[in-house]
Amino acid sequence: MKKILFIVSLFLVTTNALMAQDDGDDKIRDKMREYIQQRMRLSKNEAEKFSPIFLRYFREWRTALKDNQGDRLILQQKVVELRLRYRNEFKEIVGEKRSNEVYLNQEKFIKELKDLRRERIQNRQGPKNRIRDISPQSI
Amino acid sequence: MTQNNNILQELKELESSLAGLAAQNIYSVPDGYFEGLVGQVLNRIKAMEAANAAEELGYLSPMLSNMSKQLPYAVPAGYFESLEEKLMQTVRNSNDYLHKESFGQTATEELEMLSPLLSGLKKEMPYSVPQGYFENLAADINTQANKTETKVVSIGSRKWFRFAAAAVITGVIVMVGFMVIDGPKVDPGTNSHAWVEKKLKKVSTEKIEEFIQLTDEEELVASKDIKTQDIKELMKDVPENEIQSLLNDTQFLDDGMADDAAAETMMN
Repeated sequence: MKKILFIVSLFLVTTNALMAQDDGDDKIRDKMREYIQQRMRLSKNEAEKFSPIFLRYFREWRTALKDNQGDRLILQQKVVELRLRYRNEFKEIVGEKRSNEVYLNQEKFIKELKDLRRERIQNRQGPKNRIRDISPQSI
Repeated sequence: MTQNNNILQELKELESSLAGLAAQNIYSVPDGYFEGLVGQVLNRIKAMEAANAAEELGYLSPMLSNMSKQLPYAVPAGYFESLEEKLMQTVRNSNDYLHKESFGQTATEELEMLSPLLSGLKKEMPYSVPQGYFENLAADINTQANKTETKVVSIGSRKWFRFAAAAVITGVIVMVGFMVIDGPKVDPGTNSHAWVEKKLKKVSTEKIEEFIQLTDEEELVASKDIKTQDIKELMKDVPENEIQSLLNDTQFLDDGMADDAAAETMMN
């Protein structure tokens, strides 16, 4: 009996360890990058160049958001400055015309995230509450 | 001769110190050098072709080869055999030894006098081996080696161990399968929401919430709490054309990043 329990727990530990690797802090960042790349239909070569620059941009973007939470206008200014700076780098990969698409797709991804969160919360609350839309847009 | 004079004159004109030197040969050979040269060269050649060392030495140095092989020095017969006794006798007869305190003492008595501690030590060996130890040693080692054979426990004989290994491998295969076979492919270009939903299935709602809270700060819309009804109430006295004019003026703000419709238009 002990041996059977040991075998089962071994199986669970293995699967758990593999599952746990997926739920990291960088998962959202990676999916955002993937989303933008696919939406912009970047070629393999473009994607290889785009990835490191986007990761740098994302890191600085998050830092700007965290560091300027007290003053919304300053925050927006910092984000705009950051985006203008990085637009020059994205321009070299995707061209001037499409360089703004990076930010548009980033915003779209965030919007999708908000929708996903709303759906999940509704699902948690059960079918009765699902009819009521609690999104800020509906108010 | 005329040429030598010319050179001498030229050296004098040049005021060289060489002009004052006498014209004589500064090199010389030993007496009889050339007389014996032929014989020496021939001996060297013969030495190179000599059959043995004695013959070679005969050609190179006749004097050395003719010398006797006997040692010039010799010791009397039985010299080394009686050397120790003679030495001791010499020591005993010496004046220094005769006047010493230990004169006439045996070695034990002398040691007692010099170091009582050393003389008090037992002369027995502190270590001992059982009788016949070394004679039977080889046989004993063989016996011990045969006795202490390590018990071999086969991993394969434990069935549950096999099952445990199988469970781990199955777990890995199942999880890799889940990761690789990720359901039908969704294009984020045509079905953006479904893509995000699928790709973020494993990300917890709390993590998404945390991320959104951070990005919410950036949004221009600071009036989330203001309800449509409140705005209606607030703007009831404002004429429609004035509102429209303001909306026209501020339309560029709607073309911002957050406006999805505007984004789609720009991209197309």
